[in-house]
Amino acid sequence: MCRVLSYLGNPIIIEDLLYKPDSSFIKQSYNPKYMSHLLNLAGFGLVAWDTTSHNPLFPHIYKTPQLPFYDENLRNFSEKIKPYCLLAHIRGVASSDNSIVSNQNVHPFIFEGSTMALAHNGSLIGFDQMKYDLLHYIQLPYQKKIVGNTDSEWIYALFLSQLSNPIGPYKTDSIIHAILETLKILQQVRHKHHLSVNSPVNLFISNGNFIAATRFVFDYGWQPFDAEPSAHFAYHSLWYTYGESYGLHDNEYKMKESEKKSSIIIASEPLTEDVTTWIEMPESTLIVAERIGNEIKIVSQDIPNMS
Amino acid sequence: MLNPEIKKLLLAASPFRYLQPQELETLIAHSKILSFKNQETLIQQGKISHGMYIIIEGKALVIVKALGKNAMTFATLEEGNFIGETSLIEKIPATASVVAEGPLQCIQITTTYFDMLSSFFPETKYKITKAITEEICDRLIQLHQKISVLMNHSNMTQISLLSEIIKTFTHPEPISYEDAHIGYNQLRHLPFFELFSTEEYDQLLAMAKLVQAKKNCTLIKEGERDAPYFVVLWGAAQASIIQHNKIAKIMVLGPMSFFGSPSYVNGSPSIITYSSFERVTLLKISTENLIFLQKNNIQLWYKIIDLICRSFVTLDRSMAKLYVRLNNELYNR
Repeated sequence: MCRVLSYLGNPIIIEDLLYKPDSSFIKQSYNPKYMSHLLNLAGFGLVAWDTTSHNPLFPHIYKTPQLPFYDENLRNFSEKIKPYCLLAHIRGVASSDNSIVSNQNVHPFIFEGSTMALAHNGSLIGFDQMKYDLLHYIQLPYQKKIVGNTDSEWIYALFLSQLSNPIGPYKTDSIIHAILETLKILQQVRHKHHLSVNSPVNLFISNGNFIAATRFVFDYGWQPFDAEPSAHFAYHSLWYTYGESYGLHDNEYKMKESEKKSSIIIASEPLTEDVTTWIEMPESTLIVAERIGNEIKIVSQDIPNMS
Repeated sequence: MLNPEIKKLLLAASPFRYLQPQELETLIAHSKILSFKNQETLIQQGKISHGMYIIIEGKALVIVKALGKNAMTFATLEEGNFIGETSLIEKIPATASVVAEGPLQCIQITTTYFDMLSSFFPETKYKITKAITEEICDRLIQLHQKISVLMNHSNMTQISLLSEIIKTFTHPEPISYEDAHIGYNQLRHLPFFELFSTEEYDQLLAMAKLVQAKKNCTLIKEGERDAPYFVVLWGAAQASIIQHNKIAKIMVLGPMSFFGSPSYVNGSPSIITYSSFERVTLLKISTENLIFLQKNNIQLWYKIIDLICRSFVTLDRSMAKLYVRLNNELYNR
């Protein structure tokens, strides 16, 4: 299990997302409210787009395999930068000496020269059997850039290969098409290897102009009879809140209501214990939030069954 | 002894409408009368309520905060009105806050006490659960109408008529336990059956058929009467609203989900279409067999009506979410 946070809207001091709410993103690494028996201690990463930064098309990138709640640099950094778009991830892996905790495996993934970043909450069961078949669908320049050993980085390379170019601009339709193609290819390769066990794939993708997220599971509900209980046999949660600006309003952290919606947070779980102004996305759904002028528009659609 | 006026008020309250006066006396004898000051909160939206409250004196405001809206007063409650009834069925966060408007007195049926009724007064619990289930089913019909209006006015993508016609010709097929590679005793260990004694499990399985369906197979059609109930064992089903060839997904129902049509509860046809989302293995219980269980194994029946009620609470919450989403998103366009 991992936790993912994405934001698009009015520029925001990122400590308002990472540290200040009562169930802030950093707290979710050691005290998540959903699937609370699983901690997320295998690294923290963020990419953040800021119009005032040098070369603003490309985001700030910060990654560490260390525990984020002990990270003084992250704390200091989060009090200073004020991006309009952010994608952050805290990694959770099995408590096993087989798990590899390293900077190369920290999300979000963003290859050099690309503005597109991806973070993943999920797990492809049997990925080791699949990955070399995926090479057929991944463009050569991206194949060479895979440096870690996560399924997520391969999914990222596969997704980039479905886009016409690595920088954009992209229309919402082409983003949706690339996401659905990515899922379709993954399912084809799963079929080839007779993999039909429940595998969740919640993707979060952004290039600073949009955020897209999926709540999806391959072969939902199919798990071996004698399988040990696992978080990966369920849909991972996906929530959003939407309004004018996020911050401390009426003594609580929430999205301020307004006719004009200019900010959105899409996250694997709400940032506050009070979830009344958050909406949980239903299963097998794709959501894309895009900035149009000063407003954020949301497009959502059911993800067709891939099996 | 209850004050006769309060007793009359309570007997008229919808959740108690099937109770005999003596049953109500017993119920209330073990309940608390609570007093609230002006502006004091009985139920906090987003928090789990501690039970159901029936107002016996004063007024209360129902206040709702939702995505895209400031906190707004949704309703004013008066003597005889009740709130928090779904907390008796599912321990899930309240969907609205309730605040006293002036001094207020309520009778509180706590969740713990309601659960204990199963052991001492199961029939009383059953009658209250049945009344609450009917309330929820009525609410579902209203919510369905609101969602249908939104769907009619949206330019959602229309679904292919051909695929819908094909769906109506595909039905779940009966399958033997052997062919499904399921041991009769293996099923016993699934979480869904933990609720039942061995005898109840045997009787339930004797009344149920094992069926399998490929994906996109219709399980219950909107408008269908006397539709069966299903338990998902493996795979998944989907609940949707279909209006003028437009489809809105309400939720996906995975393993251990229980679902069916409200027609068995309130006589109305199904307002929801259920179809297989993945290939799915299900237990199917026909309406006739539900009636048989109701007549012949009342203890088992009480547990089933509890499951039916929970399934409608879940559906109610998912439909409410869909309603909010249709107001905020460009969905399936």
